[in-house]
Amino acid sequence: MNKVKRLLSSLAYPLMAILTGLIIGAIIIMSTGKNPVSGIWGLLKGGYLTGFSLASTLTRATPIIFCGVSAALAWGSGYSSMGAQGQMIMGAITAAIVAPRLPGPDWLVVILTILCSMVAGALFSLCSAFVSAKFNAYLLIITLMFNYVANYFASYLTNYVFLDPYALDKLAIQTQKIEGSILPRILSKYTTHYGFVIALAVVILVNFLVKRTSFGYKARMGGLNPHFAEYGGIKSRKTMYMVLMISGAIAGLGGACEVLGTKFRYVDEMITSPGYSWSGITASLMSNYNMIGTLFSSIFLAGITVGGASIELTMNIPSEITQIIQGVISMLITAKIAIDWSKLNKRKESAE
Amino acid sequence: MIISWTYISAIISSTFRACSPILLCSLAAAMCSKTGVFNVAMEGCMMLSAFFSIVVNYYTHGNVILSILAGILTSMIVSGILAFFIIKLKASPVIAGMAINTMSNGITIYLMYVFFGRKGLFQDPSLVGLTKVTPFFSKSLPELASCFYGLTYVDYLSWILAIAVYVFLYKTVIGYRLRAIGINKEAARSLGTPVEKYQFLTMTCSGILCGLAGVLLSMGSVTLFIQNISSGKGYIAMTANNLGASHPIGVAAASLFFGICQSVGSFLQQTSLKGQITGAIPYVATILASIVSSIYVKAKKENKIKQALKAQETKS
Amino acid sequence: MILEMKNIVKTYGRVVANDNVSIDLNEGEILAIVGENGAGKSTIMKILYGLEKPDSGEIYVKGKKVVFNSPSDAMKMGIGMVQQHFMLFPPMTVTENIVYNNEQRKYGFLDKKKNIEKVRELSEKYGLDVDPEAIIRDCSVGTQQRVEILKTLYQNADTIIFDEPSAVLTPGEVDDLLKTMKNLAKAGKSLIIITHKLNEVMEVADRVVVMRAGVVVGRVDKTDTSTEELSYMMIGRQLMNLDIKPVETGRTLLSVSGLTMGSESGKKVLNDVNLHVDEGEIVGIAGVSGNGQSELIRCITGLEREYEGKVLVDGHDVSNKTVDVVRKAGLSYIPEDRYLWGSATEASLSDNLLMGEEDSQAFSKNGILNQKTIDRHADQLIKEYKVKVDTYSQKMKELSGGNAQKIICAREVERDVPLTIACEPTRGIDIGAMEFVHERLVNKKENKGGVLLVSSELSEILKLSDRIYVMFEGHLNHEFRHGEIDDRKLGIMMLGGEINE
Repeated sequence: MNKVKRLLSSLAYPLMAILTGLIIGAIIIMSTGKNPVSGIWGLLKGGYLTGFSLASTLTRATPIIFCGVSAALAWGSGYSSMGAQGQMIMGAITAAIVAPRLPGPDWLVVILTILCSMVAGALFSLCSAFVSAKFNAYLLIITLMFNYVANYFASYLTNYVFLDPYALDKLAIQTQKIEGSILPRILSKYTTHYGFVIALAVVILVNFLVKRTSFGYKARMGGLNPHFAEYGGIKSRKTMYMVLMISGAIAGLGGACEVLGTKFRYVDEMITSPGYSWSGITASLMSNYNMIGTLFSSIFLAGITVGGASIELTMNIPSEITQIIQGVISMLITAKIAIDWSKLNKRKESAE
Repeated sequence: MIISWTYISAIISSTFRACSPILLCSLAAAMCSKTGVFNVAMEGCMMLSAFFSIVVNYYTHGNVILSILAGILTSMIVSGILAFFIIKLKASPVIAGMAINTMSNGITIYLMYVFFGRKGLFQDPSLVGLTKVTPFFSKSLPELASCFYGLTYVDYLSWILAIAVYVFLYKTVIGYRLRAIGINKEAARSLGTPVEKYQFLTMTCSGILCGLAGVLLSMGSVTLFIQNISSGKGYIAMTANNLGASHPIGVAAASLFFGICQSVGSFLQQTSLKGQITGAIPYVATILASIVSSIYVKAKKENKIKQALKAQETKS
Repeated sequence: MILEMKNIVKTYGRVVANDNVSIDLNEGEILAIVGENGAGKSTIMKILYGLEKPDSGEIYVKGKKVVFNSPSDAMKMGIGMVQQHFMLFPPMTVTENIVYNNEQRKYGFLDKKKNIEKVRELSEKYGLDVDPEAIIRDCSVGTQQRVEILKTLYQNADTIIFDEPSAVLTPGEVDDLLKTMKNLAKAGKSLIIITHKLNEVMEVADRVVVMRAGVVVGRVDKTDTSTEELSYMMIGRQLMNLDIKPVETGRTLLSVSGLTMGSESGKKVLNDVNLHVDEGEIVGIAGVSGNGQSELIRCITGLEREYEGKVLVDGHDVSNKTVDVVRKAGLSYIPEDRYLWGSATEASLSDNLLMGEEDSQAFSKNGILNQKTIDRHADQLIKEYKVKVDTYSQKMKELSGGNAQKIICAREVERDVPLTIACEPTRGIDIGAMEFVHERLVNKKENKGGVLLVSSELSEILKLSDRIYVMFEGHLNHEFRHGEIDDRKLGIMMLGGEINE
């Protein structure tokens, strides 16, 4: 009973933020001369309410879930890393290079490819963590810069080393198509592939890691009160590196799933332009770094993106409306976190 | 590759052009951090200002002054909203700033479609860019003048503003109070300063600088709007502010450094190196510069402690 | 009479900080307000300076009734305050610090010359020696304090409050400060000094107000009193004579030798500290807070690693080692601040009770936590310590201060290690919880453990300790056995005095 009550009260604020976001979205739609009710309805219907749209949403949600879990782990442990994007790119380009070249049965190639991508993401994350810790630089800025580096690096490899000269689509710069060793669709009718299942598994695993292991305990306490963790002797550079490496590995895995499940190759800008990383961070923020909550928030954000694409087609409303809605939601959410803090501070003052 | 004066002067002039938006934004960041607020939204402010200046430019049939004002006003409004969230609602400056940055991307694309019916790029022959200034010595010293080729008056203004921000922060009464707030908010409050009001106004006014930067992007060397026009310059400005220790002169030097990286990068691209490598130069440079400056600061600190200890020993 | 505070009442929740306190001040007089920690003397001054609002009571300045909503209101009425923690801008010059908010200006620009001139004038007028162009960061603590005093004078204060002004100074600087205060009084300023240090009171004050537990317990002229009388009035209470049996002592659990630590300003925060705690004893460190106790404990527990000297915990050398190493050597630690260091308010009680034990055999296997055992253990501790909560899954922030402190005590005292360091274990909690915590500490020592108790609460030290060290200005000056010393003598030594037998 108590638990249900607590769950409901923790949901109240994010729901309100979502509602406000949608209302502001409606106002923007209205101001451009379109019907706001049918706009928002189209957004929701296009995102969730038909089998096809739900399947597209889950496909779209898959990389966001990976980024969200990656961010929730890092931010929940007190490290403001924006590096999921770069790590995902490294995972994706690694998968696109490795998968067509590995010998062996398809299933084994898929597993090995995924492992390689995870290692790539983890190492890339470790680099930024090392620079930040060793040289006392803002992790935020360093990870942002590493994102650009990763993007240029992958773009270079795609353009000049691994370009597929026989690609049908001459405009898109892409690597060779992967045949056979891919993540198949769950139902052949819908685009949702087994990457989504892997994402679910990752959510459960990381949730277990954070809540049920001593490592997760250390990471969590470091995020909740770094002084407390220091006092207890569990705040260390080792914990930081481990947290950020795992977070990088998850993002790398997300990149691999995107390549093996939807694109079957690396296409220039395939990770950066949809803004998976920022959606993931927003999702983790909406759920206060709770993994299960991040899963649902990711699916919600993917849904409005898919819905946005559909109203662009049907109602001629630019799909970027969803970026605006998402931005409003994240601003409201971050303001809320602070309100809780100020309440706490007042409590402390009066206790003294 | 033949290194000729033409090359060098072209690199110099493009350095200046690449430098000015970064300089303006990093001055904005410097003002904010000197007053004790962490601003990461220069990217978004710049992008929105670039967009709205083009919008006004188009609808006024090329009224440059109104376009500039529109850019500045946009950026000030956005900075003001952000300041409200950070200072009044105590939102996380990082999240709120990043939200502004991503939202700006969405808003510009959305509105570009609404206003001009297209996505990605907007260009029109009726758009008028900023006037390019020809140096007065262009006749007598054409070699030297070629170093300043293609610079608009806003480019020149950015350097004057660097000095102006320096004078404002370090010579005027208001600037001195702002710096004091950044150093010790509580002490300033205990002396009766309305700290939040000062911080809010500083952040809003720093929007002017980002606004000018945005105007430069869309009406400077080219006159158009393209999606994601700021392409990470706001983040580079953040680092320039860091490297320059938020001091206007230091920040100017750091911005010049990034300007050089960018222009040298694009020139190398024309000769031998691939665009993807040269494009990464400013970002790699940022990382390396952070490392080097950290080592330098650390060494300086250790040296200071050592000297203090020595002085202590000789005393006793 | 320049200033009068009448029947001031101030409560924080259920705690009465000031109960009907009245204070008056004459022109050119130095009034000392003395009392123990938590006696309410800081609160009454915060009210006078506009930092806090009283629940009831009136303030009159020069016969006029006033209401202060902020320090600037108080400043306008000529009241200035030199706070214990300086409110300065370290990278700026002395002048810039003094003239803030009331600058000499020329067309909106700072008129550097005129400002410096003004400061120089002021510093000469009152004999407060400062270099107007020096950077605050490079100044000694004594100079920084002079800057604080000049700040109040620059704002034309005629009443100046000094909050524990000598706490941060070296003995030489204290002498200068006392001289300055006398000079200011001679120049017609009225001063109020809040302090523990009775020798200073005897030197400068004209009148003394003694506070205890939120009320004024004595008003005396300096000439009519003595350090002994004042310290007795300050501490006052009858001690509960808990009969604590001494236990046979065994091996040494903690040994600290030659521990010395400097600070940035060059002052030695810890100066050659030597102490030991044996099996079967509670060792108390008595001292007014701010004499190096916090730093000493930070060094022992590994939170601070830049020091000279040796620390042995249960025979293991842990000098300059990190917290986890020190803790594994056999030490648990109740921190001074229960919310800043001692807990994570957003985490559950189970999580809070687990800290430091997450890798132990009892609670985890191969890195996986055994949540059932952890919860059972938490439940057991909560019951044993009679913490008023429904369940171990509640968040720490839902608990009252006393209950939160019990959780932290339960975690640290019941840990299976020989030595517990307890810092201010009963600060701000009710008597019932206090007695309980004391009982557990005694229990620890009876079960072949040892306790190092740091407290600014004299009664606590005297009641529990088998041995007592007195800490003053970073050094352990004296050592006594239980019963060798009484509260009066201890009080004087804590304040740096000597007893002539």
